[in-house]
Amino acid sequence: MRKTQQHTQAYYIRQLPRAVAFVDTTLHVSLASDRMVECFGYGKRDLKGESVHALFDNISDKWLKQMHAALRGKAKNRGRELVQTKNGAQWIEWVLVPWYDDHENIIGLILEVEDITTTVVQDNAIMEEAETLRTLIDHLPLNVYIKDKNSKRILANQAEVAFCGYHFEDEVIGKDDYDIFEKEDAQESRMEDIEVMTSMRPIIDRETTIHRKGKPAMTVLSSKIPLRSENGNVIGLVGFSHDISNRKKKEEELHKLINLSAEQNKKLIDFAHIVSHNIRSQSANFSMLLSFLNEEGDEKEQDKIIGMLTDASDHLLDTIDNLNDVVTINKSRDYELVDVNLGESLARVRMEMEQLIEKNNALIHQEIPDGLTVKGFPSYIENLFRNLISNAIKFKHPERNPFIQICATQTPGSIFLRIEDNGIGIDLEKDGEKLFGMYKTFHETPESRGLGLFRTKNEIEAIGGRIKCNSEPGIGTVFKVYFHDIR
Amino acid sequence: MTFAKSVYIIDDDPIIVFGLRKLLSQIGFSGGVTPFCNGKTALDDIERSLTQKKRMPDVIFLDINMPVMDGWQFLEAFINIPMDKTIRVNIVTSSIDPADRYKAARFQSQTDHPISYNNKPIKKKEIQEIMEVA
Repeated sequence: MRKTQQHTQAYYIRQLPRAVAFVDTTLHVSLASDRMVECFGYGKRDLKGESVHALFDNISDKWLKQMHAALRGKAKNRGRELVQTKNGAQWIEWVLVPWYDDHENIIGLILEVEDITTTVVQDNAIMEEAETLRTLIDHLPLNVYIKDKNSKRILANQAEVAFCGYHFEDEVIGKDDYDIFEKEDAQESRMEDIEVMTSMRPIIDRETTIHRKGKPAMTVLSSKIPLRSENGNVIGLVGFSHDISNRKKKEEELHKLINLSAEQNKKLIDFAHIVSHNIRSQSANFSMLLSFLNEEGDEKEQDKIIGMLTDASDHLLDTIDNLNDVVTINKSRDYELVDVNLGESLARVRMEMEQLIEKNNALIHQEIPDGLTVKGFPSYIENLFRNLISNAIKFKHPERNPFIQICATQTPGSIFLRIEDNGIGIDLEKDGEKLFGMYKTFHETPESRGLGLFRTKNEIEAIGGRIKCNSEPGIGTVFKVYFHDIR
Repeated sequence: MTFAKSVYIIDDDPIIVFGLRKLLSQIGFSGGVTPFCNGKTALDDIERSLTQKKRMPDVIFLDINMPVMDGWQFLEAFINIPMDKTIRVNIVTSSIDPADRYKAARFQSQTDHPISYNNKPIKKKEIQEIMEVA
């Protein structure tokens, strides 16, 4: 009867839909389900008497310990194991429970095994994929981040972490732009985020200047793409940005260069026009006067014409001399610049112009730091002072004595010279374009030749400086000169 | 042949003033010739003559490059002065820059005063044509 009962139980157990084995205390199989035989039985019809070592090759110490623990009564444990079976390497998930007899004595253990190879392989593949993705994101030469609906970062790659001023992603997670940017930029960025998330339209490659707290400004190209959940609701955004400050700088340098060459080119064309115009006007006079001379019978008139021809010839010589001066200035770029002391240059010019200054009751007030120098040529700097002082006196206001203020200040990278007078001034709206032009004069003063400011501007530019003018008719004129400070 | 009666010469070069006077007398012009050394003095004179209802010039010979107020600045102001009379303005310049010729044409499109354009040295024949048309 007992035997039959056991037999019946064994019959049921064999039919279990899972791989189950009853193993005795020596770890040999007493009974196994058909499923067990089928999966791990190496083609055997029955596993009775087989050692578990025969079923699962290379059983780990850890698993073996667990088996012994079950034999000692440990209620239930489970684990994963990579084992060698008849099908080769397999991942299994096992469950162990003690096997009790009617009297609650442990007579072995019950082992349930499930082949989870497919799941593990899939999991591994997913993990590997995730890891590859992560490596890719981390090493992209772009800042990559994901923000939630409140614009707080929930992912940041290494570049983004560094951009935010941190070392580890954990430090950046949960931070929004207010934590990282200056307030104004953060506000703008948040507005953009909202725009992207509400319109569901991405922003691509928007050029933005960013001020991070306590860091210099940076120009970036920034893209923001709305992120949706599976059901289509917006859950945040993915952002990319990269630093284009260098490119921007190079672009600006290029623009400067283009402007400079355009300016030089224009100067050259202007110069060619001036040359042709001046030489043409003198030769036109020659040709006209000579034709008169041919037809003139009256001796007195002939003398007059010859006098005029002489004048025209003198003019032509003057013109050629002036033009030659201009060419020399423009050529001086090739020579080595020297340190010119501004205070000493001004002192020399003041001494040389002493009589003119006194005769006109002109007062000169100067504020030039001792030892302040600019890179240039002494003659150019002296010409600058000579020219601006003599202009200030020549074009003094009839109702007041000339008062000229000359001051120089040094700022990082540049030296700024300001020369202000209280003369009659120039209407820059009317004559501004011509102010620094050649042979341009604005006042009916016989000694105006229209060369001074043209020459000054050319000389200042030849040593890398710039000159600008502000003026108000009846009030006075201010010339501002900027020099590069190379030190 | 009807000749102009009054001619203005606006040029800072005394040789040009001398030459134009001479050419005008050679073609038999016997009217008045008034020289101005820049655009400003000429413009002042024209404005004064208008208010005092004095005789206006029939022909103006105008240089471009001049101190104080150059030929273009003069033209700009001149064409904006309201007047019944049309005055022939003849630009006489040594500039061979085509841009100056375009500039003259642009002024012509803005005004009823006939504007012509000649290069220096101006020839007797050209003066004759200008004076006859005027």
